[in-house]
Amino acid sequence: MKEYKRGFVLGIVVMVTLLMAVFIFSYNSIVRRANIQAHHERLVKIADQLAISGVTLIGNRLSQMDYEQLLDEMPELLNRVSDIEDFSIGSSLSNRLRQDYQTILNQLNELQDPSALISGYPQVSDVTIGFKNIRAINLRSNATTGDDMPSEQFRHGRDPVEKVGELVVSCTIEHMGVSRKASIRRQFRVVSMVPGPFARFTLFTSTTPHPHSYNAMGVHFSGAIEPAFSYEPAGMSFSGNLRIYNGTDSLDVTPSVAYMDLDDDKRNLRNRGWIFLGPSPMAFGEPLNQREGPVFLNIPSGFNQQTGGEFMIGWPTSYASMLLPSEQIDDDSHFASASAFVGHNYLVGGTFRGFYVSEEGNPMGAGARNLWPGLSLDPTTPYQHPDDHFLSAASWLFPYGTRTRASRTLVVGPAMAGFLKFYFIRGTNAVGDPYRGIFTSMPTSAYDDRIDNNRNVDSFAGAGLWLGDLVPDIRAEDFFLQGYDSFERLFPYNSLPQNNPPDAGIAFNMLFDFMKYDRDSYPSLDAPPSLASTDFAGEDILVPGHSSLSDGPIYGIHPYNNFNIFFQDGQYNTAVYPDNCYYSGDLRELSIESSNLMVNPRVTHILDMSNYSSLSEENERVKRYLFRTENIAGVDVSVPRRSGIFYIMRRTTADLEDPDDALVLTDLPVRLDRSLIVICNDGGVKIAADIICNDFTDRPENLFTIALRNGDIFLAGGGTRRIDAYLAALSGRPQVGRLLNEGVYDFVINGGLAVTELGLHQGFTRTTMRDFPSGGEINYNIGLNPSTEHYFDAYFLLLEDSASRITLTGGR
Amino acid sequence: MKSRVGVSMVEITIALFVAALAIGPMIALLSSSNRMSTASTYETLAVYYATEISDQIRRLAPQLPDILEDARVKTGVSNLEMPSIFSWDPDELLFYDNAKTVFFKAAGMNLDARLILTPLHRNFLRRTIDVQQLDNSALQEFDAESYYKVIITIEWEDDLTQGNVSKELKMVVIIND
Repeated sequence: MKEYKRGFVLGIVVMVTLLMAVFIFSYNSIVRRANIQAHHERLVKIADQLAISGVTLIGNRLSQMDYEQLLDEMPELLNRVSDIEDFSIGSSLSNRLRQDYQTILNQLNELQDPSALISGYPQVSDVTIGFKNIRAINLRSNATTGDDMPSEQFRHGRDPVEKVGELVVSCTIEHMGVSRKASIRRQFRVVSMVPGPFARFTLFTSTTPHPHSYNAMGVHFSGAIEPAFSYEPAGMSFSGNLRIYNGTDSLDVTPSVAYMDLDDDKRNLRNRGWIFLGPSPMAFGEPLNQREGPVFLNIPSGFNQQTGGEFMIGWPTSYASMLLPSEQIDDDSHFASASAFVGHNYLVGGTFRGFYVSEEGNPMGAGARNLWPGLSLDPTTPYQHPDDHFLSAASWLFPYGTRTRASRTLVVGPAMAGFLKFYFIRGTNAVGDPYRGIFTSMPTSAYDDRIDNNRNVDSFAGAGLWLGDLVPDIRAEDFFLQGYDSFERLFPYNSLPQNNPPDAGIAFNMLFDFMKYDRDSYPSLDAPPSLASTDFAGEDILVPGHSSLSDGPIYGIHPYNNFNIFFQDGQYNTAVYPDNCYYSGDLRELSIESSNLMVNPRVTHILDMSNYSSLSEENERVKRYLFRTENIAGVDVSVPRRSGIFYIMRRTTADLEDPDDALVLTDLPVRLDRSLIVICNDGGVKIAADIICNDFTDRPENLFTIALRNGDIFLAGGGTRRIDAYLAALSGRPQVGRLLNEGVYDFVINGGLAVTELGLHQGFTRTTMRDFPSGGEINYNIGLNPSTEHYFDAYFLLLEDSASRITLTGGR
Repeated sequence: MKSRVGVSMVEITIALFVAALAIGPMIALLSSSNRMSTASTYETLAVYYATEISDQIRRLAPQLPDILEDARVKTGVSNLEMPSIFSWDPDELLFYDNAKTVFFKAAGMNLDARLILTPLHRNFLRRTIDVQQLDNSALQEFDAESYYKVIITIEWEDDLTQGNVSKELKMVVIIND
């Protein structure tokens, strides 16, 4: 029994040793596995960071693409939403992005694997880019029926290309045997940097304070400014006008070119910015969308390069003469010809004339001639005394450019042209001496009295308006072949009607047959305006609603309450081709609030400063948010940080009426190198320095818009302010939404201007015209015109700043 | 007969010999495993420390241009470059007690942006952030901007460290301005 105990201790020891060995080896195995896991985790995290960096950089790069690059690489993004589904971009761009990122990774010596036989750097094995969940920005459905409502959208401006969706970018990295894939989803928007339908217009005004708001500038007969003239109702003198050039490609009209050809006309009709002069109120306090009163623009006399306006009526026979060519009247049924009177050689004609407040020998101007109806020195009329003679004042607003740079366009709204016309007889008598006279008007009784007394033709001239001897006699009854009817045809004519609302008059559009301007003859004032060519009759895009220009008592007044803007020729039926219509509605109701800037979710960034406590805080924040500071040629300038549509929310305690509480976007000059739109929800904005586009050939290539929902734009800082931007202050409320002056002399806007009101009040209410007696200049940027091919350049792909979701997975 | 009773001396000797043969390597193995375990713990910690920084920098990346401009305004140096706002003194990032807020700096002045960092384990010797501009001359698509690599370095020593050579981890984040 005792012998079996032999080896017991050894057995115990061996067993314990074995158990310990198993335990220790197990522990060691676990530790080794944990060690490997830790090392693997290290490699995974390193690869993850590189993969996330990759997708972030690629996303950022995509958001920098301009229209041309988008068109090359992702043409689907520029399709109308109705024609597009989820898609991935081609391998070409993906490969280039992959190679670029690999080039970057090849500079990471810190991560190089020393044991690798080849490069040892982290490798980008794959890059994919896709666009998903795409939907239209403006596609809002009827809550009841679920149907789209394009007709409702047309009132705000409807762009069928603008869209929103998700960008999905993935990047796979291989590093020391580990493969990791990062995918990000970032919301994207394809939006146009054209702010809204109002940007189709070089100048857009919702309303005009009163019919004669613009007629306050004194010009000499030659067209030169008459500095002594004071417009007494407002107690102001003007030293310059507001010149509107409706396209930076405007053709200079020279006497050597008789007329523009069809192609030029067509191109101009399409490219030019139009002008909307909103109607004046018929009663005090009338809502904007009910106003229908006229807007009169008195064309200034003369051919002065900047301020002479008669080029709008016609063109001088030569630069040297600086006089309008006369209209010769050969009407044998009413006026006897010169051959009927032995020894006489005369012609009867008519001459168009602009308004003037002073001329040689007549310091009182056109009013003192007592020739034209509604324009005479009548002491019973307020303000109409020699120092005022305001009825002879001319328009401060030049909608058609200047003499050396004519820029005709369509004027929408009840704009009426004010000009004068007189008739004359001019000839030589039997002894070869000259004579000439201007006919005046008189009632039938006065006419009959002269006829009964066998008076000569010279007795029908205005007082002091006959020179020379009429020998032998020309009896009036022998000259006026159909009596008073014939004489009446030679009455001096003032185009401005006296009734309000006017039941007669000349629409501004009548002067030019729109873009066609045949300087060999005057336009017929008794017929509707005609298109430059019958070829245009079916092209509503060029002259929308032109067929209705012959409606109503005044030909040529362009309707503004049912106005259309189309993208392309043809397809004008909005029910059948909704995607070809950009806007359809009542221009009086168009404001920032009602435009697609606010109605549709086009805004890409929101800066909420509502809880800020001071203006300086707001100014500092908005400057840093929108711009970065660069030093260019020794001067600090503000450069936009990014493209986008930015909505700025002012602090709630801001005094919206106080110019001193207007937001200053930046106190430095702005150098534009990208496009952006800045919308301010409340209060004014002060532009304290020039805004200049770096890329400026014949127009700013980058589109910048400042849009104010409920405030005025102030130009500050002194000198002439240059602004390569579209300025819009459309509040929908009278006297809110103006361009005002805080210390500059005048301005040059290369873009356009949309304001609630522009013209002078009779009182002292501030408006653009009151604040800028030196005038200014507006050049339209045709990149804002949705009817041109340039409009497509305005599309941008904008990504949210940070990814909404990042996914990390194994790469294989 | 008496000598045959109980455990023989030979047996005990053999048992001791076997035990001695086995226990020595096993203790060595156990010790090695412990060191390895500690090493992997440190490596995991190092990954954590580095990731903590890289995640914050990645989130700050969209605001870095703002931060840089702020630095330019505060210092009055208009040509201040991105790497200069990442210039922390190594001691600022090396602490062992409580979590700490580390502000971005320019010319000694604190900027608005900051990193929040956890304290290091005592075995960690270094935590640095270095930014270097990358050469973009060969890039096709990315050539419009400046690119930087942010190198996060964590250095520590553990029981596996031999010859006073510490271990380090480098993590890289790529940013652009």
